[in-house]
Amino acid sequence: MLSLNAFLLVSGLLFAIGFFGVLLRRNTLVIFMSLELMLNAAILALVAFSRFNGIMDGNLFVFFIITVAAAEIAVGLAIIVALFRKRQTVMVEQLNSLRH
Amino acid sequence: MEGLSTLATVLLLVPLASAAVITLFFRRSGKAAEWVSVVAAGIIMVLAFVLIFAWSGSGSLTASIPWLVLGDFRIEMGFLFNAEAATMLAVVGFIGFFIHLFSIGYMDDDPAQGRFFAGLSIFMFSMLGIVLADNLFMLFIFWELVGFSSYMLIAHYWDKDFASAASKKAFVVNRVGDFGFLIGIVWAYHYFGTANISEMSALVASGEKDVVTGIGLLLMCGFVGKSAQLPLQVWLTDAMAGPTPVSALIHAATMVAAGIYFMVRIFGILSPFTLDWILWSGAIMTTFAGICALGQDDIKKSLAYSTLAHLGYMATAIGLGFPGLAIMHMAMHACFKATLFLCSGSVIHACHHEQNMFKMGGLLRRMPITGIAFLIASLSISAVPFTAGYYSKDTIIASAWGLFANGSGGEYLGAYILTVLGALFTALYMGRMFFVVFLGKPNSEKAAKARESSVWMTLPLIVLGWVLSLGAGWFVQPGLDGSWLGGAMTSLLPTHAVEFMVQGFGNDGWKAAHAVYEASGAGWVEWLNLACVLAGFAFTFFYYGRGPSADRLEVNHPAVFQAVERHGWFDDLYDWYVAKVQQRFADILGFLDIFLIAGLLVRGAAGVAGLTGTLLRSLQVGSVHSYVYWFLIGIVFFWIFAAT
Amino acid sequence: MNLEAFQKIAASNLWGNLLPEIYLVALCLLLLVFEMVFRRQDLLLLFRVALWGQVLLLVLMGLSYFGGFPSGREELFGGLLVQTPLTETMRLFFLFGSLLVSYLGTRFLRARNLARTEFFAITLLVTAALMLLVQSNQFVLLFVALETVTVGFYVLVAYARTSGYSLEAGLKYLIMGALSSGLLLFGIVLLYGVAGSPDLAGAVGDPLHFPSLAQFIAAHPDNTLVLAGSLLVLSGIAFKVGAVPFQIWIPDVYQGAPTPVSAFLAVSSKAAGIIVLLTLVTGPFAALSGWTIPLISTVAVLTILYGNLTALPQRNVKRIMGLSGIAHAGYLLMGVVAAMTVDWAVGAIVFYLFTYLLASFGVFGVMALLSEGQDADQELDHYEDLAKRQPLLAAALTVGLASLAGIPPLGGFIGKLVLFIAAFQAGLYTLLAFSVVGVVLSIYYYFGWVREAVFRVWRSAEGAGSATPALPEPRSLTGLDRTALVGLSVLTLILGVAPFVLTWFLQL
Repeated sequence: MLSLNAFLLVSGLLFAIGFFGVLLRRNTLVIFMSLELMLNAAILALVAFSRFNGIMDGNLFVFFIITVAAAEIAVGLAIIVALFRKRQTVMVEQLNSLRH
Repeated sequence: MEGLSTLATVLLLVPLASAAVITLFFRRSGKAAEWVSVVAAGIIMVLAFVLIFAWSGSGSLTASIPWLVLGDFRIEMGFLFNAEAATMLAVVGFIGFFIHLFSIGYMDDDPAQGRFFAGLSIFMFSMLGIVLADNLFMLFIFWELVGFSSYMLIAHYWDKDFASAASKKAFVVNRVGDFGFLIGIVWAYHYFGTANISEMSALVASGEKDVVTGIGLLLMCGFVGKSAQLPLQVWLTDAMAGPTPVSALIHAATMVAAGIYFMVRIFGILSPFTLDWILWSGAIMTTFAGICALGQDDIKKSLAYSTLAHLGYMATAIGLGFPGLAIMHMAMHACFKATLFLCSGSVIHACHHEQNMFKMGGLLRRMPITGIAFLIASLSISAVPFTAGYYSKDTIIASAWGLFANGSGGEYLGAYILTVLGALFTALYMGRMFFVVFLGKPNSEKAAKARESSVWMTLPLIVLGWVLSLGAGWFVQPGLDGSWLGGAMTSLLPTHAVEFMVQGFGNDGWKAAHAVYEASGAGWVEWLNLACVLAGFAFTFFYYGRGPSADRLEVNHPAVFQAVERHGWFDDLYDWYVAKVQQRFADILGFLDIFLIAGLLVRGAAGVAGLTGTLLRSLQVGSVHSYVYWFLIGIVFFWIFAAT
Repeated sequence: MNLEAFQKIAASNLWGNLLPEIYLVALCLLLLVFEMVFRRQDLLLLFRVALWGQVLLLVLMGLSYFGGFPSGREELFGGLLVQTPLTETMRLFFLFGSLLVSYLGTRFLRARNLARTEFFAITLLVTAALMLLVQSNQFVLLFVALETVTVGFYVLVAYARTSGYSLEAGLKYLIMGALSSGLLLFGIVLLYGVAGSPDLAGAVGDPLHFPSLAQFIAAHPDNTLVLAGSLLVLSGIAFKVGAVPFQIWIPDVYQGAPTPVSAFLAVSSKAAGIIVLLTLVTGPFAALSGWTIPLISTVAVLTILYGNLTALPQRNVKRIMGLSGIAHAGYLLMGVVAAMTVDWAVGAIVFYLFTYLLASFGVFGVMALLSEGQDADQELDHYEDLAKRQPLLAAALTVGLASLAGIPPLGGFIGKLVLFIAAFQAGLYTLLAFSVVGVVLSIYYYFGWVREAVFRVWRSAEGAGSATPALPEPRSLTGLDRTALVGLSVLTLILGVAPFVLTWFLQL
């Protein structure tokens, strides 16, 4: 059986990938996917902890996180679509009319 | 006790409610505003006397409510009611009410009555706050509110340039004083650990804390600004730009006396050096302002200088160490000075806003009630024996001599000489004013058509002038404690009222001062005073004549007159300072401003701040990516703290 | 778990104590039903239902206090949430804020062709979530409430679908918000994992519960995972508060968002962040005060300086409000640090929040009333001669800005005074010095604005020839507008001269 550390490593990697995806990718949709990846990293760690620590709260928490993520996606995609209609672009460097 | 503090709270809230009602509902209906305000003033007067009689001279009464409570931390706001507060409350309530009445007549043709009466109500509110406040912070808040209502009322005729300039001047000059005052309060709080006046005095009295000259001098700054003492006296004469009832109520009877009142309240924490300072500045003021009053053609400005001189007398009394005497003179002065201003208001109103004395003349026959009131008040202010002013003013002068005679110090001789000179000048300018305005023949069309004012204006004149300017001091006749004339005086009034007249008017201070004078055995002092007064009146009667159309001094000795008129060139000095020093400084700043805008900064002379701001602003590049870097930096930054 | 424990938990399920939140959600659903029934989307009807519904709640809550304002600490729902006088006060605070947002929203929506019901519905929902957020005593509830608030705000910020600015602000808020949620969540997970680990002594059975977690952290304050977890959680909260270096999104989002939403973000969202931070650092993270105190102190200094300095050269009024809001968050952070050692500082924070609410809504209200058209481009120049054109607006603006600047005798002055005294008692002298510098700086830009609006009128008339684009004249003010602005100004003044009206019932 895999050790807890293995799960945590994967989770940490996923989190880092997600974070650097947000940091480096230019397409808003991809950034958005990276954000979800970070949430998934948390979910994975949560489940792993829950399993290895023998405390079920974490499993329960996961359902809430999934729900929250779904809501976030729904709203987020709506904003991105509306913005694309308005500006004809979803690239972050072109979305900087609000500055200074 | 509980009931009394409730009463005091209600007393304080009545004018506030009146101001609120006027502002909310009667901005445009002057008549309604008038009545709301006058009724409020009437209630204040009644409640004030109920409070005073309930208190009936028994020591000091304190009550406080938690003003701000957060857990263990609390700031208390409360009332301190004692002899000086009772006197001040009576003055504010009583004179305030009659000046409100007078205003009905005086302001009848003014389009902005709502604003005026709301202002008066706010003034009453803030003044009562000063009277009752038991700690320096609360006092400062009301002090500023009083200032605010004063500027508002000075600028009542705001469309006239001189009025808005005058209110600006009052504002700026008072800021100078209040700045020192505020620092003094903070220092006092830091030093004593409390801002409560009675607690501070108790600390000093028990010897736990020494008096600190610096605190006293800084707190004195507030007094100097508000009471227009040297060198911040320049604003008061300009403040006469406001309507005359305002000049009477605020700039003669009550607000300017608030400075004196404040010094009396904190008398316990003043050091001898501070007292000497107050003594000198007050004594010099009595003569200096007396001279200046002779150089004014404007009746109100001349009276304003007289106010300065008499504030000087009160300051002298404090400096001599008789705070009760200062309060008594304040009360007497409020009676006769309010009368004088109201008379001048009555005259000005009758002459269609003519303020030049030499365009009046012969008004005694046309306005007998006003004229007689003015005459009585003139005698009273000159301290003719057995008028109200005699009891306080004469005692101040006599006790200065008494202190010198018993070897307390040379400075008291200086104070004595200056105050005697001041008394002489008082008689000179009062005589000049009375003979020029009320005797002889009218010197202008307006004066010829003048008629006695309406009952709203004459009633206050009768009460304040005929009755109080004459008899307000009869209860403190030496040695008899209110039983003068075999008890005839006391039987005229309820016992409570007599008790108040004896106790509230700072009778103890008067007795102490009088005892010092009696001990010196110099009976000639009083005779000299009387001689000065008579000489002053006689001289002016013959020099100026009856109802002249021009100032003889100005005609015959223009150089002398001009020197007097420019009142010691203080205004010129300030003007020079503003024009040359301050303006140059502003020019340099303006140049830097432009230079920096063109050069380095977007705007502002705030140097580094502006530059840093601009730099920081340029960091907001608007790109999400760069913002995410901030998050990265943030986590690293947080980690540094967590890891160490 | 045995039966007794379950019974105990069941006994703590006092739904009655959550009636305000339930009421708000029900009102939100009612509005949505209304939309289905009345297809016309009658704005006035919706507004009245939302407004009077909230007023009714305020009255009902007020009536319930006749039995005494809640005192003491009560854990409900098996420790899921906790109710204290502080949370009760914050409930009122959020309700008051949402009332004002609903009012401003009507003004905003009237001039625009946008969906209407949803604005009020989401405002109510977010308010209910904010109330739950400050009461949460457990990380699941905290996260869910926080996310409900945040997702609601995504929609509100991007509400003006026809405006590129609003959408861009929405996207920025979305990305930044989701990122900070991710950090927060990961932090929670780490804490959950380490506190429940059977390998460590003193591991607790319910590591998401604040008191249990506090117990564990007190036993292992130096554990790396504890440090990592808590700092990630604090970062997530710092984003909500707008503390440096998580403040960078604020000016952009405030500028782009509809003005009522900017006000909502500036006041309610920030207040919730501060209270949650307070709960965390005095609750589960209390044992970490060795580094949280210097950390929050440093952040407070940076936040105060950043907010005030950056606002100096700013001309866009919404950005100024955003940046000044950052500075206020800095003062409040100072209060949080003070509250870690001085108990009554909590009261000072709440008092400050109330004065901030009144003043901010006054200023945002004027901004909303002036921006009938595009509202992201309001510059200081647009306020020129406001006193002549709209004396009431200019007066309300002056009172609001002066209170924000902390000028006596307004409420903002007392708020700053008590906060500074609390900091003084806590011995935070350096922090205090920086705060004073910040206040001085802030007077410069607040009064730059007031000067524009009020004192320009007093200049000579010739100077007015500069080429400033005139702002479209606002529509005539309705009775409600006047009542709202005058009411806010008067309340600000009352808090300044008679703070006991608030502190009497705020027995924190």
